[in-house]
Amino acid sequence: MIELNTWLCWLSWPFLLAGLFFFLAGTVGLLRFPDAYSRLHAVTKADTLGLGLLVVGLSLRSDSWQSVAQMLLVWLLIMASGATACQLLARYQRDADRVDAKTIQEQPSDGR
Amino acid sequence: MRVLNVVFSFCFWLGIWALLSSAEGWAFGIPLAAIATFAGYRLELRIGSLRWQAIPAFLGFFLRELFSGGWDVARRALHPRLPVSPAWKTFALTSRDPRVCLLLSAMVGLLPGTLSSHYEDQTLHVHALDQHQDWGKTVAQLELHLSQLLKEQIA
Repeated sequence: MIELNTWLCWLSWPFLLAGLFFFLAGTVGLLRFPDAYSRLHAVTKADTLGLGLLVVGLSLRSDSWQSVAQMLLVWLLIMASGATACQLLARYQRDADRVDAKTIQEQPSDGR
Repeated sequence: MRVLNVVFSFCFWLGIWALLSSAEGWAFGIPLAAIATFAGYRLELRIGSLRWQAIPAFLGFFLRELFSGGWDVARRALHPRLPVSPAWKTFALTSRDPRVCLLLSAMVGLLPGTLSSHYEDQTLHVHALDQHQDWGKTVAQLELHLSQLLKEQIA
């Protein structure tokens, strides 16, 4: 009879592969999306989900509850910092875009 | 009451340290917990009371939308025609609780197709990855879940 650990090990593979898929998709989005805000969508959502799925996969292979709790905590902290940093970057970029637009409007025409 | 909050906050940060470090390195962990407590006190961070029975519904909704958001962005990124139509939009907040508005503003970035820069005067500024997508419904649902979780008195 196959041991429970072997089953859990097999069960972890779909989660690990799905996590890898979302990390790759996030990176592709970072390269393909047209502007800074859209790229923030890609890295925030896909990477947070990818990390969560990796944590589930690794938790199934873990031999102690403490390491499962540690990984969950790391995921929560990264999710919180990712959401906050994403918002701050969007705010900063938006302010910078407004300043750029204002500067272009105020520039005198050289008549050519 | 304020002292009790400070003590609770300090114990909370100590607990986080104990879990992350496998209960080692207290010479670094205790000062770090004290700094985190002091920073929280100075910034007047207070989550307030929670409605515990609202947690399962909130978690279920959030995890479902987190998966949906990741899938949506992955699908668009890998699609050959790159189906995105980004635009800045506004969302009228119904909640007047600053805790709900602040959390919503941060968490909107994890929902499908939305990202927020800030909120002011009951208006949330949202960047939609696809402006034709019905993103407002999901944001409104998250606002309702947060209001219920944080025990906001809805007028």
